[in-house]
Amino acid sequence: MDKENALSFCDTVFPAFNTLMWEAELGKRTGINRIFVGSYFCECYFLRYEKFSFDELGKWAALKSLKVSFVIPIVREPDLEKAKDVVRRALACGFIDEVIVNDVGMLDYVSREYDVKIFLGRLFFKNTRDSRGPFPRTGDGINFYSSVYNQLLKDYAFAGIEADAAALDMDFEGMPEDMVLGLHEDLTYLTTGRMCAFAAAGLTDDRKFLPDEPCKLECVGNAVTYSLEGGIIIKAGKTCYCAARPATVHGVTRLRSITTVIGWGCDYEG
Amino acid sequence: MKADMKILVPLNNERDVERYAVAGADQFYFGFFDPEWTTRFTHSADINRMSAFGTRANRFSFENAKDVIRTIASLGKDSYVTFNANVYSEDQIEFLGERFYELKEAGVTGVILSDATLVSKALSAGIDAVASTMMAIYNTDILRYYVGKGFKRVIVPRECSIDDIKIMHDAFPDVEIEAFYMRNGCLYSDSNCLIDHHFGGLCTDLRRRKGYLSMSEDSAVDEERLREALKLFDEKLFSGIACGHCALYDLYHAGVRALKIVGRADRNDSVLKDIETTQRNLEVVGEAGSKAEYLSHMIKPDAYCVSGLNCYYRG
Repeated sequence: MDKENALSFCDTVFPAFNTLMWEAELGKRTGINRIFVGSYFCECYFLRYEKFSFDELGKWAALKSLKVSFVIPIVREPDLEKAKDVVRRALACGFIDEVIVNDVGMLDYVSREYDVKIFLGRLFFKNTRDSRGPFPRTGDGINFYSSVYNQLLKDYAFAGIEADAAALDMDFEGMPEDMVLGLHEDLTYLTTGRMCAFAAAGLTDDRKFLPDEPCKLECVGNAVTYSLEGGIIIKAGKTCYCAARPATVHGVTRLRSITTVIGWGCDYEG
Repeated sequence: MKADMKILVPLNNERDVERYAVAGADQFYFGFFDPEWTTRFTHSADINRMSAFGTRANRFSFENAKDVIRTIASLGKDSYVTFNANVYSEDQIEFLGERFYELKEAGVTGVILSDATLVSKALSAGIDAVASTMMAIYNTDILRYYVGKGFKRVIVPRECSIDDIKIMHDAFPDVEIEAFYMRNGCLYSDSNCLIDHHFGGLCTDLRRRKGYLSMSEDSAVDEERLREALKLFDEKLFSGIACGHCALYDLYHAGVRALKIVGRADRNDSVLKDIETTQRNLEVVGEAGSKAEYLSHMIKPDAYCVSGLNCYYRG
């Protein structure tokens, strides 16, 4: 099986290029040949990339022989055009060879407008990913290469799909041989809030908990951990994660292991 | 005169059909349990998102469901059956496709779907396809894709604002938009919530837990304000009830044509009360010449306003 190792700087660290910190994170791991920037879960965070130093990132990535993927979250209507501007700006730099989309609207847009490899991100396939309780309930026995992908392949070309390590045995039977599976192997996504509890810290009472209220990235560097029977839940920004499963995948010939930089103020060992 | 918006209500007891209809319900939705499904696909496979709640949320067997559909049709009302589980396999899609024909024969109006591959099955059976919130229709680009697949009606996610809805309606005026209106307002996004309700919802579970806050040394956020916000989020926000009454005038003018009262596992009397209030307020919308006039005449269910944070469409 071909294997690639990717490190995600999405969502958990400040959305700005920081050579010292990024090199330190790379130094903690071996064999990383791709990094992710952008966001999976939060449009407020993603829109901060309108000021990101893509040129600087491109030079650094070339120096380190790293490929770069750009991750685009699902965005609400008012931010759709702004998000497309960010995508335009990112891809204009020329060094991003892959875009990871998380909804069909953005899949359609990127397919039409850009000549770039596309991955379907971790929110495309909606299998339950819960570390509480026994394993079989949450995925063993499910074919993770679902009919949804085959239907999308009729309309769009994509190079790979993503999943979270959420079950002991993950079956991808039917996945085309040349397709890559990107597997999130440390933090498993569980859910995302309709609004952000962290952002509320910076808002007046009458604006707290409104879904579209702009934030000051109060989430970055901060998280809450809850202990539950069978595991822990980490709330970071709008998103809740749990510990990933040590998964064995089947039916896959090209695997990409994805780990995430933990930006909050404690060490977390998944 | 009542504004032209349908009241869509959850049903878990056939005996409620008539009194809900008399109170103002135009449309009913429900799921069913199916021993044949369970035998074939095991308990791990859900037919709909409430399967984890067992018969508390899905009271009807498949055969009962068809009877309920006939009862609803006999009153001239619409029925929708939910097929909005997180994932279906190809075998399960084939199985459900067969069930659609039987539902059609019983007189069902539509099916609520989480998987676009089911649309062609529904359309082949002659049933309307409704896009569940699981389809995450947050913007017009996403809506365009699903309209292209054959959906005529969509349920917009709870976190969509009235302005968002209006933009979608203006872009696709022929698509019927259904919006959340009353009762359980989950803290998390229906569209992307992948927790397993068999273990309990995080929205209720985390309320009972003490969280450990970790902050980076250079965090610019005031710790006390952050702790206060997190506590408010976990303990007070949408504590079981949510309400859209104050927004009804705007929802109507944004193009919403179906109001979803949720609560398939809730007490029938509470649901009935919400139907009655909604019906009354729709009459007020129909008569009101302005939002101010609506707000001055509407019935405001005070019990829902206790925390000030239970509004679906707080703006």
